[in-house]
Amino acid sequence: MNRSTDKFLTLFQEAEAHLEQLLPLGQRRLKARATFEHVGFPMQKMEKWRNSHLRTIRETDWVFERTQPAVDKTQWPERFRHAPVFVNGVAESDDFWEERTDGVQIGSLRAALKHTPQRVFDHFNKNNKEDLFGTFALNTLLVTDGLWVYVPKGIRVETPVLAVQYSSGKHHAVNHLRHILVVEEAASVDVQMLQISTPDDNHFIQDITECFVADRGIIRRHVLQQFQGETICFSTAFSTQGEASEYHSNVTTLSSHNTRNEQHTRFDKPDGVARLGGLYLAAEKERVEHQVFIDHAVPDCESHEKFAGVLSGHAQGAFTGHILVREDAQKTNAFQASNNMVLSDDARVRSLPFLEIYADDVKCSHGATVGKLDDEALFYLRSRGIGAEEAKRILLTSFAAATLEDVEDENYKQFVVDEIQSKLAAVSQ
Amino acid sequence: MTEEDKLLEEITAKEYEHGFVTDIEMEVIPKGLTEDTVRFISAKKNEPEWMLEYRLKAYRAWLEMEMPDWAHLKVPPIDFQDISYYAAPKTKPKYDSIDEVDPELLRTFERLGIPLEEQKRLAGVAVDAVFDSVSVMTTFNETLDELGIIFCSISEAVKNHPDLIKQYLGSVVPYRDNYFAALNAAVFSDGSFVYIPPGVRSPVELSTYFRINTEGLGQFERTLIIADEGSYVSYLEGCTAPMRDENQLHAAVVEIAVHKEAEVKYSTVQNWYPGDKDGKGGIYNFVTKRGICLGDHSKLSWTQVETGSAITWKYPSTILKGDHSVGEFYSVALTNNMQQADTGTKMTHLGSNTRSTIISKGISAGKSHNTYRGLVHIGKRATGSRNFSQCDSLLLTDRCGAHTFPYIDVANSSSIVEHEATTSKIADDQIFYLKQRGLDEEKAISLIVNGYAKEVLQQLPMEFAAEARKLLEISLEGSVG
Amino acid sequence: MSNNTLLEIKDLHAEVEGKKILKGINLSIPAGSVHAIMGPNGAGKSTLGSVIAGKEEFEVTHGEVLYKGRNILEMDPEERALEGVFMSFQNPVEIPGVSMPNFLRTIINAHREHRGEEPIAPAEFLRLMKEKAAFLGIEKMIRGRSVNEGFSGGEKKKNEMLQMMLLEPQFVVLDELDSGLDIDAIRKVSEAVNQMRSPDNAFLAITHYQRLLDYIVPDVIHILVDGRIVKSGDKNLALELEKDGYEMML
Repeated sequence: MNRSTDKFLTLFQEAEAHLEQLLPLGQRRLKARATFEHVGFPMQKMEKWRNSHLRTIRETDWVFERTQPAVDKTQWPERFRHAPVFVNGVAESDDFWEERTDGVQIGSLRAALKHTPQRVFDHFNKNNKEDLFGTFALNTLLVTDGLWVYVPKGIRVETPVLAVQYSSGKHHAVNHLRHILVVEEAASVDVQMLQISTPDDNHFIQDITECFVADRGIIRRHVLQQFQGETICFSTAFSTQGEASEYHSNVTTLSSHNTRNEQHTRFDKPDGVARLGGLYLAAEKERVEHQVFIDHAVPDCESHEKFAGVLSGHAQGAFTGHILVREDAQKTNAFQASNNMVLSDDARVRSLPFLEIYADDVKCSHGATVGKLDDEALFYLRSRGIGAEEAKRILLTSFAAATLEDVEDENYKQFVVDEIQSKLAAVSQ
Repeated sequence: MTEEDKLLEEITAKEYEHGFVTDIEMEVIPKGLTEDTVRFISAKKNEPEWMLEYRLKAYRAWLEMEMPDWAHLKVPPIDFQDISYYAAPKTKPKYDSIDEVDPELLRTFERLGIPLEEQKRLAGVAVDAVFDSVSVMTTFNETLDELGIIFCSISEAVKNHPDLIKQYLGSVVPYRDNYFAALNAAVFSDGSFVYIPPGVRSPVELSTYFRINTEGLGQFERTLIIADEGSYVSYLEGCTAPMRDENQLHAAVVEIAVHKEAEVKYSTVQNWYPGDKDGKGGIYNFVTKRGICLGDHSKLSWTQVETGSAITWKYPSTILKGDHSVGEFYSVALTNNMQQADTGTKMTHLGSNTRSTIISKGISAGKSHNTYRGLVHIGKRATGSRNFSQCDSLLLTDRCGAHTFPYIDVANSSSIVEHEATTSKIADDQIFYLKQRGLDEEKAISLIVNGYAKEVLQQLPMEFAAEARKLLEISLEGSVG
Repeated sequence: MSNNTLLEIKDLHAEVEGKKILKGINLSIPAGSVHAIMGPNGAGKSTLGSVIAGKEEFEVTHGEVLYKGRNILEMDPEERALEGVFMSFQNPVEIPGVSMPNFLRTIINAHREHRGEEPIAPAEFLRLMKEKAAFLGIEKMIRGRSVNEGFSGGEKKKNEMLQMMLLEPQFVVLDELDSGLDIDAIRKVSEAVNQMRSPDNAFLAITHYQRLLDYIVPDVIHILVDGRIVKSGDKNLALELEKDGYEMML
C-alpha cells in the first residue's frame, strides 16, 4: 500500500460519520473503501499517470473541512453569478432542488437523495469505474455532494443548466463531488459548469460526472475551469450512450495549477455520436492534462475529438487520447486531433494519441501537432497593418477557438472565446 | 461461412520458403545460462580478459533485471535455462577461401539466395554470413581493405581492433539499457563489425545474413557500425530460420555511431520463421537497435521490412546529438496468422535544427496483432527541430488488430512536430477494380499492399526492394480470401 | 439466340440492400454491334453494368447473363475479365503507390497467363504501352504516376481506354464514358472505341446524354426506366429523347 492510499484511508476513517451525515451512501462507501484499498491511489510510474503531478498529493496532509467559507462572486464571469454554487464540495443552498411539472429535476445530489433516492441509486456509480484508478473509488469514499440533473423521456430542456463548483481555503482540504446527468429517451439537456477557485486556495478537488444518455437522447456538457490558487483538480466525466444518441463535452481550462481532466466515453448501442473538445491555456508553472478514452464497443458509432493547448512560461501540458475499437464495432468512424502551440522554451508538452483497433471495417485517424505560431501568417497580418502582439493574439485565438467548433450554444461559445481572448492577451505579451 | 472465410481456411500459411535444416555437424553447448556459460563463450572465442569482464558485468546486471512487459504482446514465459547459448559448425569456423567452406553450408547459403560466392562480387555486395553463432566468412575483403574499410566478424574485431571495440561497444546501447540488451552483452556469439574511415564512401553495400539452424538455440548477434567523419555506408541485413515446432529466441543488438557529416543507411529484411498458421513455433525476436548521430550534419536512416517472427519487439532508434543531424525511419511490418509485432522507433532530438521522419506502414492479416510504438522527443536544446510522422495501418481481416501508440514530447518553442495516423480496411472498390482487370483476389491484394508500402520499399537498395516485394507477396499468401 | 449473339440478358432482376433495381431486363447483343442504354438517373443503368462485371453488392434474384452462351453470373469478376468482359468505370478508383506501368504489365500478364501464353517481354510491353498511350495523348501521365491517382476526370477515362486497348476485350461496358469530359476528350475516347470496333466484339454504352452517341454511333438504343427497358429503337430514338425528355417514356 502506498503512502497516499494510507493517508486517504485514515482521512476517511476520521470523517466517515460526518460524510455519511452529509450524503448517506452507507455500504457504497465501505465497498469503495475495499476497492480503494485494493487498487490504491495512482502512482507516478503507472502508464496513464506518468504525465500527472502526484507529488504534492503524496506529500500533503489532507484534511476534511466541516465549515464553509463565505462566497465572493465578484471575480466570476457575469454569466455564472446567479447560478447555483457548490462551495467546497457542498451546495451553498441547503435544499437546492427544483422539480418541474414536466418531470425535469435539477438540484443537489444531497437533495436528490432525499427526494428521489431510488432514482439516484439507479445511477450512482453505474458509470464510474472504481476499479480502474484508485481516484475513482476515492471519490465514492469522500464524496459530499454534486449536481443532479434528470430529464424524462421526450423532454428537451431549452435553457442551459448552469452551476458553479467553487473552492476556497488554505488548509489543504479535500473536496469530492459527484455530478449525475441523466437524459431518458429522446430527451436533451445542456449543462454548463464553471469550476473556479480563489487565489489563496490549495484544495484537492476531485469531481466525477456520470452521464447517462438514453436512446436518441442528447447531453451537452460544458466546463470552464479557472483555478487561481494552488488548487489541484482531477475532473472526470464518464458517459454511456444509447442508440442514436449524442454526447458532447467541452472542457476549457483558462487557468490551472495542477489539473487533470479525464473523459471516458462508451457506446453501448449503435449509431451514437460523441463530440469531445478540450482546450488548455497554460502559463507560468501550470500543469494541465487531458485524458480521453473512447470505447467503441458496438458498431456504427462515430467519435470526434478536438483538443488543443497553448503553453507559455514553464507550463506543462499533456494529452493522452485512447480510442479502442472492439472486435464487433464495424463501421466505426473515429477521429482525433490534438494540436499544441508552445510559446516558451521552458514549456513542455506531451501528446499520446493512441489507437487500438480490433475491427477491420473502420475509419480511424488521428493527427497530433506541436508547433509554434505560423511565421508566414504572422507576417501576413502585420503586412496588413496589424501590430505584432495583436496579430499573435488573433492567430492564437483562432487556434484555440477551433476546439469550440462543435459547441452548439452560440452564447456560451462567444462567452468562452471572449474569455480565451482576454487570457491570451495576458499570455502573448 | 462467407466466400472469403472459405478461402481463408483453404489457403493456409504457405510453407515457409526458407524452412529447411542444414545437416552439418554442430558443436552445441548444453542448455542453460550461468556465469560459466559466459566464460565458456568468451574462452571459445579466445577473447581478451577485458571482453570477458564486460560480458560478466552484463550477465550480473541481467540477473537483476526483469523482462519488459509494456509492449502490446502476449509473450509466453521464456525459460532462459532451456536455451543453448552457443553453437558452431564443427569444422574450422573461419575460412580463408571459398573452397574451404563446407559444401553443405554453401548450398544452404545458395538456397537462401545469399550472394556469398565469388561471382557475387560483381553484384557489388560484400557479405558476412552469421550461421547460428559464428561468422562464416566475409567476402569482398580485398576491395574494402584498399579503402581502409573494416568489415569483419565482431569476434575478429575484438582481436584485431580492440581499441575501436573498447571505445564503441556498449556506447550506444549500454548493457544496462534493457533486459535483452544485457542478455546479449553477456552471451553474444558473433555478428558484424564495420568501420568506415573518414571521407570514405563505401563503394559496395555491406551485407550480413543471419540464420538460425540449430534446434533450441538462442541467437545473439552483435553488430557495431562506426562511420567516421564524412563517410558513407549502406548496410543490409537479412534474416532467416528453418521451421521448428518450438520457439527460438533471437535477441540481437545493433549499435551505430555516425560522426560529423557521415551517413549510414541500415536496411533490414526480417524473415525469421513466423510459426505455422496456428501459432506453433516461430522466432521470438527481441532486438535492440540504436544509432547515434554524434556529429553535426550526420544522418542515419533505418529501413525495415518485417514479415517474419512469431513475436517482434523492435524499435530501431536514433539519438540526434549533432546539430543539423537527420534521422529517418521507414518501416513496413506485415503480420499474418498468429504473429504479433510491436515495433516502431524512438527519435531523440538533442541537437539544434535536427530533423526526423517516420513513415510506418503496418499490415495486419489473419488473427495477428500489429502495433506501431514510437517516441519523438524534442529536448530543450534541440531548437528549430522538426519531426514528421505518418503511421498507417491496413487491416485485411476482421480478426486481426492494428494499434498505434505514439508518444510525442516537446520541450522548446521553435520546433515543429506533426504526426498523422490512419487505420483502414483494404478498399473493396480497389479490389473490384483489379479483379475487373483480370487479377484474382490474392494478386489484387498483393498489388494494393505493395502500393501501400511503396514509400518504404523505395528506400531499399534495388535488389533488396525486389526481394522485399516478393516477401510481402509470400507473406500475404493465404492471408485473405 | 442467334449464333452470333455475344451477350444475352434474360429476365434479369437485381437488388441492392433489399431494394429492387432491375426488374426484368432482356437484351441480346450480337457481335459486331454497339448497343446503348439510356435512361434517367436512378433507372438502374449503372447497376446493369455492375451486374455484368460482377460487383458483389448487387444481388441477382432472377435471370441470366449469357456471355458466349455461358452464364457469367456464376463466374468471379476476374474470370469474366479474363474471358473478355471489360468494364470502363464511371469513377475509376485510385490505387496509391501502384505505378501505371507495373499495373498495366500485371493485368496484361494475367490475361496472357490465362491464355497459356508467356509473360510479355519488357521491350514489347513498353512499345505497346507507349504506342497506345500516344494515341490517347497520355504518355506523360503514365510515367511515374500511380493508378488513377491525381488524374483529372478526362485522364481517368483515357486510362480506362488505354487498358481496354491493351487487353483487347470482346465485350465492353462503357459506363458513362462521357461524364465529366470536355468535347476534345469525348472525341478522343470515342475514337478509341471506334478504332476497336470489329465484327468479333460488341459494346454496351451506358449514358445519360445523347451527346456521346454522336461519336459512338449505336446500332440499337434501349431506354431504361425504373429497372425495365421501356423502348428500343435505332439511333434516332436518342434524338427523339433529346427533344421530348424521358417523361414521354413513362
